Amino acid sequence: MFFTYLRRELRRRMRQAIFIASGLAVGIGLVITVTALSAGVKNAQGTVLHSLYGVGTDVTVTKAPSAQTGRPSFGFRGATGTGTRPAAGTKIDIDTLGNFSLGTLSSASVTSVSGLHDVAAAAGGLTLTDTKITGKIPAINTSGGGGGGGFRGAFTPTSFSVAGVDISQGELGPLSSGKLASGRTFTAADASANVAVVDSDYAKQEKLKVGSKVTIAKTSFTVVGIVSEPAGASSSDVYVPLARAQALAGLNGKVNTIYVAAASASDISAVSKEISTAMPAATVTNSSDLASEVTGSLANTSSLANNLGRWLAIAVLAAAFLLASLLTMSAVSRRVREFGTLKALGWQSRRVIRQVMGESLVIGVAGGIVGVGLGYLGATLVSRLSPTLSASVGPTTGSATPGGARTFSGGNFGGGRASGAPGGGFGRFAANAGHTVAVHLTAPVTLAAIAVALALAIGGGLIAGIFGGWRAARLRPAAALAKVE
Amino acid sequence: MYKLTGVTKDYRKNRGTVTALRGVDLVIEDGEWLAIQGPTGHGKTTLLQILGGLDRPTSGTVEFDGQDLGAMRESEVTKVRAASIGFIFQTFNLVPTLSAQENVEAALVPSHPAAAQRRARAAKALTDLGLGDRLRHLPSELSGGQQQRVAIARALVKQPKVLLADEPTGNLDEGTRDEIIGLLENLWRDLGLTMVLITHDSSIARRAQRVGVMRDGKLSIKQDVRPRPKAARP
Repeated sequence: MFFTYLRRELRRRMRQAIFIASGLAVGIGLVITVTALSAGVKNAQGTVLHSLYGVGTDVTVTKAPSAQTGRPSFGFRGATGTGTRPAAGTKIDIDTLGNFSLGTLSSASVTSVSGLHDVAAAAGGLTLTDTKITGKIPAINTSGGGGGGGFRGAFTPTSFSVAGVDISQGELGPLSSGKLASGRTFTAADASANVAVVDSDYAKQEKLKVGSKVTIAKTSFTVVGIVSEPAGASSSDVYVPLARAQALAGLNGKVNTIYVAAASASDISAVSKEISTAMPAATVTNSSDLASEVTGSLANTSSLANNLGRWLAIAVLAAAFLLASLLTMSAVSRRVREFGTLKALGWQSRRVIRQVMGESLVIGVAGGIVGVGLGYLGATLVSRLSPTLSASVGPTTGSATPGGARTFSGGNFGGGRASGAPGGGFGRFAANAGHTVAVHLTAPVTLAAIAVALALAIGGGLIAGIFGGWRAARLRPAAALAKVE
Repeated sequence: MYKLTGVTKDYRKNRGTVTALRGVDLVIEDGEWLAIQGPTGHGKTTLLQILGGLDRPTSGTVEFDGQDLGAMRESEVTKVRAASIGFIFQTFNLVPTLSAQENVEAALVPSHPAAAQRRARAAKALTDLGLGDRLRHLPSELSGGQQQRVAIARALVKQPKVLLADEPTGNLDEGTRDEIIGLLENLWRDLGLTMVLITHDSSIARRAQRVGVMRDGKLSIKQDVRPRPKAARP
């Protein structure tokens, strides 16, 4: 009888039922889409952070550059006519490996950090830039103005990034997120060898392969492996053993980044604090800090999904609940005589309430099912139509550089790795390069989201049913029967 | 069956109070047919609702088979109604979405019989009233007389002790009115029902054993005008 009555009643007021269910469906659909979008944004942020940060690294320790760091000196800068200026026509062939973006830390700091409580492992690394300048010293026209332009145009500066890898800590450091594309990675025997692992993009650009030679600070290195970094990762161009990088850069016993793995994910915050206490001059960065620094369209989308989307979904859902409740109460009001008659026949109030709630529940479930479909559709549309989003870590201030993300990018040094970068200008490659990662946004619909959405739909139906049932329960059968329809 | 003592019923209306019943004293014996007449708005329906446990008196007592309906909890009164009291209304009050058979079944729902038994009893009740071929019809597909017969079947299918009818022929034409009253009279006689029937129609009232007149909330009873039925309740 319950189901027969329920079915017939819903059929009788099908339009209203469809209207209520549609309202709930739109609300549920929005909740699922927004939830999926949020999950997608979170995944995208994860991808970005993974790219920028590196696998296995929980915390990075760096130090702000000193006044000398960040602007390279090649030994011949000076005003026209000074004694340091080489004679016109002198060939210039400079190839130096320098630390331009970060301050240095002693290797002993790595040992100190690795000994801290909650630290599973620590590895030092050097993020450096190899700069090559070739050309001839031009003749300077002292009578005319603007001679600097002629001087500058006489040289061909190129640069690429070089990372010194602590081979004894293979799981940590700048190579941790890369995947070996060909050849091999470093072995313990390579600690002092002139061998290099090259980033796949750089290898493609420079037509390098396993066995090729690459020159760093006028020293020839043999390429033993090609690694590819995750999409958008801020990889270095060339990786060499840490000891060799230290020797070539004149930084023996120094590192400029310490990569730290916490004992567990829950310890990351504590580890950060411990390191900050132990090394007050250092900049300690973990993934949360980095996430807060991610900007760009991804951050905007995140903000949109988390704020506007969420509130829109809540508003629509609340409106749908309200509408469903009001319409259910209205429907109950129109059936006052019917319920009064049933009470006169001996139906207890709870049976009448159950009937009303059953009807609302079915409408809620129907709205939920349609809403899940709409949510899937919305999520699919987001996945298919969403443009590729970009995320940027703000320009470096010479502080934290997780995984080398904010290290100096060779492109800014005119004609280096990044084509199209502003050319020339020795002073332009200051430590202010940001890093941008492009991510395609997807909106995955999870079972949990579907379960929550269905629960909301059922909840909406129940709320409407409670209001309707409350209205029905308050009916005195005599008053109900006296009511003229 | 019924014993009403000093029953009054006040309604609050706007800021004032309307007194629908004023100290009604009434005894209704088992198997009696009482007709109540009176002008509209003088308390007839209120009295019927109090007899049916649909409303409670403001003061006084309403005893039904020795139980004071006014002192019982709502759920208990509902149980009494489900088991012992059948209602017939002027406007039939059938559930519009349910078929004739399902409307009759609705009266059996509170007593929880098995579905098959419920359907069979409803079908028999309708067949007994000449509606065997209208079981699956919706109320909107039935004539006024047929709808009232469905309502009568719904009232009687649970074999109540009392049948309370509020102007059951008020919405029917003359021919159908006679048919329905004849049917009720036969049922009263054959089943040994106690019947309280409100009517404006004196020709119908004269067929009852006693006639009461409600005026300004007061009830005056004419003494027996017909002998009591001989048929016992089956």
